[in-house]
Amino acid sequence: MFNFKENISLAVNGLRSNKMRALLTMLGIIIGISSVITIVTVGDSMTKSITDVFNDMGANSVQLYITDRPDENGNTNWSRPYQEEDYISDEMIDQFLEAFGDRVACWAVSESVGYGQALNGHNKAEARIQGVNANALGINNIDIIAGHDLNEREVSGEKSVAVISDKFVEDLFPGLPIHEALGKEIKLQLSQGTYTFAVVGVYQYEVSGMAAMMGAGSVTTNIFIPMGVAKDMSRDTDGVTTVYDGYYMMQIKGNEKVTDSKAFTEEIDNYFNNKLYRHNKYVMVRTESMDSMIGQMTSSLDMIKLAISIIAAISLLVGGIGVMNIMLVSVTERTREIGTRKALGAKNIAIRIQFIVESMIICLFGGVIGVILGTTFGRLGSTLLGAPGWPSVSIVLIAVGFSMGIGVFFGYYPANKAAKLDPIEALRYE
Amino acid sequence: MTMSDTKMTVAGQSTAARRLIIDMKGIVKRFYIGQPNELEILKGIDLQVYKGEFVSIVGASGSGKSTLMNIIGALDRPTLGSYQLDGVPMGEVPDDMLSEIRNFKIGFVFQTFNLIPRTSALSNVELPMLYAGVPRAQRTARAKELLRQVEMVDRMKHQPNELSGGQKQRVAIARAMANDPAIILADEPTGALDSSTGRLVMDLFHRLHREQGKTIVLITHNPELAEETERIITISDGQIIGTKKGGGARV
Repeated sequence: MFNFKENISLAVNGLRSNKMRALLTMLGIIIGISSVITIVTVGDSMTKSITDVFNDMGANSVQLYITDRPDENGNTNWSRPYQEEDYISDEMIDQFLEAFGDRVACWAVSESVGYGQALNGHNKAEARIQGVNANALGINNIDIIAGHDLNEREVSGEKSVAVISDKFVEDLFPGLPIHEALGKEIKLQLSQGTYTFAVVGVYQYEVSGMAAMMGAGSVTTNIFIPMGVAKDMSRDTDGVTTVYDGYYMMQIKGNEKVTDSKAFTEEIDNYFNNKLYRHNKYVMVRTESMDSMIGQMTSSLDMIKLAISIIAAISLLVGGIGVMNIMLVSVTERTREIGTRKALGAKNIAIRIQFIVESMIICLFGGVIGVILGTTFGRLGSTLLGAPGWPSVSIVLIAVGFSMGIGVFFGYYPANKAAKLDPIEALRYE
Repeated sequence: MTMSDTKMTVAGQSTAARRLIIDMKGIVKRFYIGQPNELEILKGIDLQVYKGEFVSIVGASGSGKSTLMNIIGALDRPTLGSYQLDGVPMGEVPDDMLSEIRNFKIGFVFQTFNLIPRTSALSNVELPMLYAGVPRAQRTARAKELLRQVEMVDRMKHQPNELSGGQKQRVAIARAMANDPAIILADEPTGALDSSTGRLVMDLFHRLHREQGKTIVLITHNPELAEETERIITISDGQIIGTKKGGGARV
């Protein structure tokens, strides 16, 4: 009855006969749809890669770090350097573990010593030297593939041992099987001197989405050494800067007894601030759970997505108005044709459908071109950001459906105008 | 619906029981009703056209013949008077049914051809059948047959801008016959053609009338063309001022 097939071929013929006009008409739709697809593709792949990184760190992870305590006016004294008693001390950690020990799977403190390099003939490997406590690596889901993580004995005894990455092994000893790296001595050159470590463990270096994003191909990996050794190395730097025994930051990972990571985080926060740091006027502890950090990251991503989506929506609106304008021109141009059709027996609804279909086809073409462009840009953008992704099928269907919806919405008024033309007037139209 | 019964009566052309196709009584058409510039274009027209007749309506411009044509063609309604088209009392047909009446009962042929641009001759002829809901295969077959009758079948894939004026008008006539209407209503069909192509078009009308018994109403201001028809109705100032037999009248 509604002759969709004929209407479609008629609309396509019309578009073909006036390609430039059709393209200009579609432009708004193309820009709108392609930017939506691009943004959603890039945004989704970024959200995914960020969530992956944080999930690697563990959902029950809590980070705490010291920060200035605001005074009664809410001001913080930025100029005051941290003192010995401000840092998280070993005693504090012991007290904390006594209180929370049954719920802590592992915990980690770290001290960054700086960058160094090891040489072996022509081979060179670069590393960031980090002092850690015993059995700390599991907290960041670092997989030991040979040997073992630093143990209590090595850490408390401040042995010159190190856990290095497979990448480091590959750079320093090309072709050497990983397990043969165990027991090897490596000489690390730092600005303050050269230190020798025996390799006790090798971990697998993973290029995560984030790391890749911030510089793919970087070969500077972490070397983990006992905390005491690291502190001593830091003290070697200049002999002027005071290096305290405490820690600025601590990571805690709850075990399976922790069911509510938010409550766990609050409890830790409460314990540190109301007990351990209660009498410290200047410094307090801030806690952050992985959940809240993921939330922060994704919500800021969502904001960006929303902002660009609004721009895309405006573009689609403008595009839709453009389509309406062209449809009105088309109705006027084809007044006589409309009159003829009516004289030949076309019902009003047939005319209305003809023009709505035409408007829909314009928008559909625009939408399809937009999807193709958006997929291309989205693929390009997400690849550049290190997390290649494709737009989801649902977003493509929504985009195409939405563009057709625009066609119907903005085509309705011109189509209705055409349908209501008086056939006598229309036939007489020059 | 009406196609079948008109078809049945095509053959039965007897002078004895002639069937009325157009039956107009006291048709008045006024414009701007109730306003100071109210205008009476038709002032009481009585017109009867019988099945199988070839009638011409002649009149100067402004005589009201276009208005009369619009009313005959169900494009417009009279202000007063009764009009029965092929037995259908038009006064009782609701507005939204008028398009169906035009679709099934009327075949329009326009001075300016009015073929749908960018659409093949075949599709143009199919159009009234499309609106009538005739299945594709059937309407394509009929459109080809009609184009064969007007000797345009070899050009059926051509678009209007690839056809000459005479060819366009022949396609238009084929289109007018698509739903086998009760009347073919031709408004100055040769007006835009030179005399020789106009002649061909007129010959085509004569042939359709003679061979297929089509009822044709020709609206023209050209007395020579009118003379070829069976009956000439002259209209002036909204009234019929004379009816006479034309040269094409059968004895």
